Amino acid sequence: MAKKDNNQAGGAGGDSPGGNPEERFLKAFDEYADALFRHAVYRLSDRERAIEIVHDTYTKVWGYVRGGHEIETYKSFLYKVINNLIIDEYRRRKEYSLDAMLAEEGTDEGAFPELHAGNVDEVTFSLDAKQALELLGELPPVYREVITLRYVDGLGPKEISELIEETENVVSVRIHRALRLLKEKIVLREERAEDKRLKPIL
Amino acid sequence: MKSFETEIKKYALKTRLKAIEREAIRDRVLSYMEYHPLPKHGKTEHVSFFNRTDFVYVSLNTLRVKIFATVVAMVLIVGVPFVAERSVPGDVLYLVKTGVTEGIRTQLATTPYQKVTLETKLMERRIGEARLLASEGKLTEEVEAQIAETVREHASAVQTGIAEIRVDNEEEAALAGIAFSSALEVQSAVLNESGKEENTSSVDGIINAVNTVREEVASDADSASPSFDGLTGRIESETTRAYELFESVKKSATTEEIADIDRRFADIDRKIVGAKELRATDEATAMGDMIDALSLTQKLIAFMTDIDIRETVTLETLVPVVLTPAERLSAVQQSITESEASRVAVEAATPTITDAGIAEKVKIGLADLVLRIEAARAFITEENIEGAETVGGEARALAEDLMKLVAPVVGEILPVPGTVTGELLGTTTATTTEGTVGTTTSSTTVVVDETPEPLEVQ
Repeated sequence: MAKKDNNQAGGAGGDSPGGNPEERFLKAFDEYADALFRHAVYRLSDRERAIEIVHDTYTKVWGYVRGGHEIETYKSFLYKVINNLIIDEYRRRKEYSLDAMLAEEGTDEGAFPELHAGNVDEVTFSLDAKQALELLGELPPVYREVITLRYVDGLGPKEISELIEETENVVSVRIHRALRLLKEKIVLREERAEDKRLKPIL
Repeated sequence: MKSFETEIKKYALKTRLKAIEREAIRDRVLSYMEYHPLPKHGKTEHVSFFNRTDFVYVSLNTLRVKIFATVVAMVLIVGVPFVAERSVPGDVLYLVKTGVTEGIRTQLATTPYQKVTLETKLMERRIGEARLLASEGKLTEEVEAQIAETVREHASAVQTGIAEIRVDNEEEAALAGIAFSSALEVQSAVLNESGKEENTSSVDGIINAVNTVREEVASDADSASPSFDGLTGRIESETTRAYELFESVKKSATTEEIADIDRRFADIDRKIVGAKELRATDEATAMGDMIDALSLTQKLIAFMTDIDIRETVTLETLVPVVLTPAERLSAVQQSITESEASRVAVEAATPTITDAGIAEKVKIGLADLVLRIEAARAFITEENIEGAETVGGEARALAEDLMKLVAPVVGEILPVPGTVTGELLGTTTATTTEGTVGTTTSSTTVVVDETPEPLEVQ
């Protein structure tokens, strides 16, 4: 796993409990604004909206601090808030709900046949990272969510499970399925590109 | 082959906020914090959900009520802090200004550098408020004492901030100390001018407070001198800033004002060039000149940026013109010429003096004047400008006193060429837009009473 940078995850500063609330809050801004923005961009595929969501996240969190609450770990709290705001945004856009999507796929997340660490490696082995990021926006929201949290934000399955309030197993399954879906999309895109290339000849 | 995880992160990291976007969000968040500050008590009380009374349902479902509520909210959120900014001690909103708005700014200043800048600004604000109250005759002794105390507190916070900077960076601390001294000198000048105005309350208490702080800063044993290179760098950045300000000031300033400021830039540049040349032979003096140049630049910036300062003090008070060697030479030559003209006039009037005592004093005075004029001319020949200025000033003072002495004899005060009655003795003038500049003092004491005796020549 790549080394975590301060903008992406971790770092003391705003996450050190105690001290001046304003100072901690501003440190949390300096440390996580870029990471939250990145998260929002890949979840929403809309740069301008991502900027607004980052702003709304910080104002909401400040409102919470004003309410007299002390935030122990800014990183997870900020991710929680931005995640909720993004879900609200999806709702406004009337994108698929998880239930609807699962019903559509006929998938049972209670059964976990894919849960072997090797499986993820097998899927990612031949996966092109650049294309995967480009096609992330085509994934259903729940898959986009876990892939973004796992690979863009660098969170572990346990952190993701706490954030989205699912078990670690469910998170792992979703990641696996999301990667598989991404791979399919990449293959499909490559096939289309190949067809397009050959079409004039044919 | 790199892992998928590493690769995807590498690409993802390219997605980040542009600096301008980041600043824009930060500014918006800061504004939000400013208008939604933390409650004073810091912590909310735990109230049982069932006992809460703030969930009273009020129907606001009419357009009028919504509009009214929005207007009220806007007034409270935006209007009150805005109006409070103009408040002075004694106003209802003054506590909003000092307690809320400035309180937030203080909280947001997280580094010692930011603290020093902010506390200096707050000290200047308190002095400005005191001057405003004084100009309206409303500065009571009690309020003056309170403001003086607050000025001391802000100054103390600045000194603490500088001490904190010194722990990690002595040079930066020294440069911050120079900036603070410059700010104090500007405030002192402004207060002194305010104190001279008629129909105003006394600001002596505030002046004393500022002067005390100035003395403390000047005698701070812990302060170290910055390096020559550090000073050069800071002067470069400050003069760049000053030139940028000058460009914007030019759009609205008069030709005279532009010439005045331009002249100060030339003086500062000359001082810097001189200091750099002097460094090889006399580093201590060169350092002193560089510190002086930095301080003058900072005062010039204060003059250009603060309309309140511009309206209270002249640029000459804050940043006096420094004569060039050629100007100094020209001034001293002019002074000698005028002294010589006076000598001729006094000599011509001498035969008409009937009082033997006065005649004797005039005779001695004339002899002395001749010697001093000759000495001054000798210094000019030797290109010793300082010597010429000193002796020339003495000659000028003596000539003027002699003119006053013979005035009753001839029935009128003989005009001294190139001088104005009542002008300071030994004052030289330079060709600047602000008139009298470059005062030199005379070491000769000639005591002249209203009645023309006794005359003492020491």
